[in-house]
Amino acid sequence: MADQQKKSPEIRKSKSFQADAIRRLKKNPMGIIGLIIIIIFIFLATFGRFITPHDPFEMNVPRHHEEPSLEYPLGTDNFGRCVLSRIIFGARISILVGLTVIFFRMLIGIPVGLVSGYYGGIVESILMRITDAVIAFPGIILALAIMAVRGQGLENVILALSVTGWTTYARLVRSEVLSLREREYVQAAKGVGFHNLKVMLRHILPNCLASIIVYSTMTIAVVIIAEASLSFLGLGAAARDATWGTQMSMERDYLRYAWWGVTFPGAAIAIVVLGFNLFGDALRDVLDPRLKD
Amino acid sequence: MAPKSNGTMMQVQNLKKHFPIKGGILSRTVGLVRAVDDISFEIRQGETLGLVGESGCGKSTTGKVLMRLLEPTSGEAQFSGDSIFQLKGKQLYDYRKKVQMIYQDPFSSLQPRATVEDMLGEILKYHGLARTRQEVRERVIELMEMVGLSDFHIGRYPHEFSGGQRQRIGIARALSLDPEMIICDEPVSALDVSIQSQIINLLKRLQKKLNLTYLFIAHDLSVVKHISDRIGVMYLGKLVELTGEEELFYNPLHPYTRSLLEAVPIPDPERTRVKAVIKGDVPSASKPPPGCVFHTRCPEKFDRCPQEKPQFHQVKDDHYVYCHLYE
Repeated sequence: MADQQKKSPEIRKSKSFQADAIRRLKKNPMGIIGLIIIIIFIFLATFGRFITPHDPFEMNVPRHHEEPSLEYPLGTDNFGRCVLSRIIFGARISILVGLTVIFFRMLIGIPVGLVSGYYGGIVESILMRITDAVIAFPGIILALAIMAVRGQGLENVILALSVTGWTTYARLVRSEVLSLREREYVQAAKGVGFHNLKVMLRHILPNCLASIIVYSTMTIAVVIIAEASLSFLGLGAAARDATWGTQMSMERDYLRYAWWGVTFPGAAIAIVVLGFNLFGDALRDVLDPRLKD
Repeated sequence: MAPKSNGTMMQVQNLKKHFPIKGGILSRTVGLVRAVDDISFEIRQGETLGLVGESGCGKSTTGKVLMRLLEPTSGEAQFSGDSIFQLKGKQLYDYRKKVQMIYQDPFSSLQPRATVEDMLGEILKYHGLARTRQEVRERVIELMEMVGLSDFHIGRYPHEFSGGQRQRIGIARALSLDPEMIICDEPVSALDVSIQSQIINLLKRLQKKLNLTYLFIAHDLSVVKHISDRIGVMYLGKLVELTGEEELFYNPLHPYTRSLLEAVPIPDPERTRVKAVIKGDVPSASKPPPGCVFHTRCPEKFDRCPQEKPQFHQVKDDHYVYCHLYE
């Protein structure tokens, strides 16, 4: 700090928490592995259609259930489609569902938590009882019911997974707000006359972000599994879509003599979920304010 | 009744703040914590009114209620003629410009995610005191210099400062709106002794320079003696004595004030110490004793004390006491 003062007589913004967090993340090897997995996953999801070795929808029935070979690195499925190509292509749907579901959950959960934590009293009672009521539904069964009523399709998967999971955001944010609103800097923000919305959005919410980010990273993995589960049960994306869950569901009957059809999509899910969990764990360590000097 | 004089800046009458204790399944109110129980005083233009008392006696609550961070249970307070507790919207916004607060804990009173410039700039822009980036920067630097920090500090985050420096930033925040009065809520109690005197002296200098009025809340008598013109002593939600600083130290009347002064350490090993004159603990503010709240510990208690509440009354010129002894 002393030499920084000598070097820079002009006013310079100090390293922000974000910059500091990135520096600390670099020292965490597991987090880096997780991050690399996520980057590869996002890359495949974005550019998958250009790098698949075969057309993921091209059927070649006479060559069905071929073992992994040079031509088909992960074998072929029941219709003779390239399993590798379908996995690469399926990444797109997994990430699409993962991100949009998280987005909608935040969109409902964060305002509910923020308002009920900040205002307390009757507002809090009403909002949190609604939250409790939603929690009381078993999530995956409610999702199954929604899918059964509204039929297959990605938008219905997103809807079904969004209407249940926002409750954790509401509770997470509320508990953070409860402790933050008693901090003196929040009192001070009210004391200089800022209106409630400004206090909530500029002084409380930024200080909850760390836990929201960590929780979201972990939850993307759960959502990807939930989407795969729905697809596996035949209630997710339409059967023609190349999602990992539908692929496993269709190939499951042939597991005895064509193990690759189920194993590789399953492995893809496991690796991506592992990646998000490793990265989420590392983020929690990095963003934990108690580790700050 | 509250004392009156010319040049009154803030007038507080019969202020009460009771916190409900909720219990049971339906969270009914099962009791009340009488944090501030019927106190009256005035703050005069340009003076420092010290407010001392043990922890839990309601001194910080008084500050927060007057700052409108807590709503009072009952009572009245006026600031230059306006009733503070009735202010709404625009009037409250204007009141915020005139009365500011310095907070107790410098480690939690600054937003950790904002640099000093961002934090002060946000306030300045919100109140229209600076518009362009350049104006903001100039004013922020001016504020920083006013509290004894340098211009290169403005790009830093709170965690890069020491406790004393943080408290200076807290003072800069209070000054940013150019207030007439500052409520100092134990501004030095979290600091080292050497830093305490720096901050106190800074506050005194600023008072002279900017013609400020202070309500100075503290639990340390020597700190309060150093900065105050008049001192109010609180005990269990009551103001028990209120008078000028000299008068309080040389002629304390209330038995509680006297025992407090006895307890002030004097650096003289030869001096024979008077034994502590009060015994026991402060009773719970949710079950204050009947009659005079101090009678359970008072060395001069007599039969009237547990039965009748004393009045806060003037004993002599500018000396008010809550005690039956002087009626």
